[in-house]
Amino acid sequence: MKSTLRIASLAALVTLGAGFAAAQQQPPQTPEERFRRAWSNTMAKLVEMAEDFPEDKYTYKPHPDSRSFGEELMHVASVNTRLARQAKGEAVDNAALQKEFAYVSKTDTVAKLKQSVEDVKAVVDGPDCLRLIGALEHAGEEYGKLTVHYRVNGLVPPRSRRQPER
Amino acid sequence: MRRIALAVSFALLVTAVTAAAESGPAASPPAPSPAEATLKAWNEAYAMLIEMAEDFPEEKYDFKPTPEVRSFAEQLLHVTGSPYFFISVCSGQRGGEGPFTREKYKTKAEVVAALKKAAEAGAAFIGEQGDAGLNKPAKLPWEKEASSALWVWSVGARHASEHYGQLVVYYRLNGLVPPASR
Repeated sequence: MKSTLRIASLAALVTLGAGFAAAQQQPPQTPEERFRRAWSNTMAKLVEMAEDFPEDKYTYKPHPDSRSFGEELMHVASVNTRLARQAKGEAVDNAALQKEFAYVSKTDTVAKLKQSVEDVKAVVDGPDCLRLIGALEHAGEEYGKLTVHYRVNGLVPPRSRRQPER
Repeated sequence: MRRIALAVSFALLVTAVTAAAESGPAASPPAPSPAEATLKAWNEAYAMLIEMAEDFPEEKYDFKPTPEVRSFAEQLLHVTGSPYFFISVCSGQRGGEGPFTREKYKTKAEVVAALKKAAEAGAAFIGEQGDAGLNKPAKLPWEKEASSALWVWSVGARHASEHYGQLVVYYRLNGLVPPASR
């Protein structure tokens, strides 16, 4: 009886393991799955930059009319937060949102950006996620801007340290 | 900013359409197919790059923020070559009149013309393939597993957006305002 149970447990484990391996290897198939993977990649790159960039350069601006490094990241965080709140049916006041996401410090920026990624996750994981395609492209543009902020400050963007730029 | 406005407009449109559908018999327009959505993203991204290519002063085309990065013109030539790369990933056939180097494309007019042609080549490929063709397997060389041509082209559109973002800063570093911000 004990050996039968052991065999059954082993079989279940093998089945679960095979399922897990298949899930790991399964490429994204649906447009929603592809979108979620792209969203996750882009947000991870932005969070990595937020954590990596030196705090004393967070207020760097390429031009007085431009956003600083910190302000660009807070802008992305505010967009994520707006989308998350609107999806929940909450009214979003522009002025209040801008005040809430005004740049304060690196620690605050990293925390708010990460929180915004968490907050918008329900929309990203939801059935209507493709309506965020514009927001994803916007985040890609912000990422592109910040790579130049790195270079102008004599720094190499994290991703370019690991592999050649494409 | 313009893109966010578009996204917000789109969200409002979705809300309005949903409300209309709930309150009456008016049918909501069909959602774009994956190929249509990808083509739209592609065309929007390249339209913004072409606008910059036509707008930026030719005497600043070789500006680089730092010596080790691409110049304004080299960024444009990079996104000129990428549609042909994505076509080769999906079809095995590499087109285009590369190499897309500054030595070969010396003037602003030549860069703009090559960029426009490349954008059209990408759009034509997406359009010809449609949903059926874009669902075929394709594998980007740096990814571990194969996905689909649709994924490859969505990566292509995002790649263009990232370079657009870089060029926004090139504008600002030259004391210029990017077209979309005017």
